[in-house]
Amino acid sequence: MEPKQHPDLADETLLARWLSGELTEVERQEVERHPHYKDWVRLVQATDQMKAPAYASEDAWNKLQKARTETKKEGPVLQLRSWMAWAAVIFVAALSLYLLWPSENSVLQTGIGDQIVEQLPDGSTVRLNAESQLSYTIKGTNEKRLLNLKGEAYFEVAAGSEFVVDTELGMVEVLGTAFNVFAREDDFWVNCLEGQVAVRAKVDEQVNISAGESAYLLPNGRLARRSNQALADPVWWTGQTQFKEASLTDVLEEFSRQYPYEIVYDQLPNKKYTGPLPHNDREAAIQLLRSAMGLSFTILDDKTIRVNLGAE
Amino acid sequence: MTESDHVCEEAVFEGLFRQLGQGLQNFLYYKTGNLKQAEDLSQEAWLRLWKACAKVTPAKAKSFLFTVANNLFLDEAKHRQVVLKYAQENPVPIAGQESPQYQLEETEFYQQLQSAIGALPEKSRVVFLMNRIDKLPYREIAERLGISQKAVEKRMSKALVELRKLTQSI
Repeated sequence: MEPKQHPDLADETLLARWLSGELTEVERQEVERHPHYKDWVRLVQATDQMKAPAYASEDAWNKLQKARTETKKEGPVLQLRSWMAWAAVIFVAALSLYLLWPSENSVLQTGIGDQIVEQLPDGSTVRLNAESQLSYTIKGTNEKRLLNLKGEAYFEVAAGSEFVVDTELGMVEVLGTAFNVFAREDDFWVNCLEGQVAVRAKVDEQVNISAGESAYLLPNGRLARRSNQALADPVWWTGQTQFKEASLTDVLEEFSRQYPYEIVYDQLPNKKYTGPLPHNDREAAIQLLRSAMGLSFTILDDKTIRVNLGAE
Repeated sequence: MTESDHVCEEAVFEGLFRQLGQGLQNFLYYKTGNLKQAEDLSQEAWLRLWKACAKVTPAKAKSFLFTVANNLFLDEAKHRQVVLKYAQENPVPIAGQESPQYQLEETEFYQQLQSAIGALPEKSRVVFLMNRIDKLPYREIAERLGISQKAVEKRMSKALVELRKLTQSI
């Protein structure tokens, strides 16, 4: 995916790292020589003096305590003696359990290197890739099914009423049955494997895609449709991610989601990667990238891997 | 997991509240620009954590709270226009050497800045203010929002670039 760039700064994290004092000498000079430098300094100084509204921790805690006791009290406070009254209470309890229980927000979460498969209450199946989170409220197939996704997931949807997956970047509405959603940071794309799905970005625009097609978010916020069976066939649940013409940053980010390492580098070659990234064999994954991209990998400690240009 | 490190344990729950209470409320304030709403939503998020305490480990509590808070915000504030007002400790630089003209300009600048912050895209604004006001390091912000540190840095940089544009154009 194309990286978004500010018109005047090549590195999208430069100003943030300038603020936190993490620039190299060369980078620092680049910032200081920039025509907007004085404005940035002024903004930083001004925002430094800002404060959030006063926060009274003790008051907030006491208020919460009160709310907690009130929540506790919400149970059966009725004092009815006849069996009919009890039956009524039980009926009400059962009814509210039926009405309220499934609407409680359910959350599925995966960490680095995890994947899970779960059956949803309506019979649909979801596979969640590493470092992802899915929350949903589903009562059954007859009511609108709304899910919220951060990360990547593959859905096989049981027939029924509306099934909508919302993400920070866009929304996917199901008209058919099987699709994959990737929504991380600025990247958003959807592949349809069966049937049809409608994809909406935050701008009001809808793209319908059918089996074998994918929709992805462009840097300008619009959606593009691509017809490409290879791309539309995510096989990450078979133990590897298949990349096609992917930027190295995207590949290394996926590496960090499958293996618990942070990847550091000064520079990456401007090459595209086509090939697999195995999930369960770190050495094999490194070996593949090393030979395909001409990179060297140094394991610095149990949390960090350094990537350099050129073979070792 | 032992009972003692469970979120249902009163000491653990209160410890979390003392540690994250203000940060969570500020986070919601940066999103909504409305203190009352931020208070209500953060209280609701804490209640949800408490109700779900048996299912949430202390390690996951932080991301649980911020996720729930975000969902509550989305449910409630879908189409509301955000108008932000930030209290300033010291809106005008110390009087003295500065000319009245200079002070007037500074006051105007702060007013511009306030409306510019309100006009920032929400995601950049929240990250930017969590860093500038709450003084949180990028790593901590990333953890709270469930995004990568690099994404935080991108949003920070973008906020500064946008703020400059917005304050220049007024």
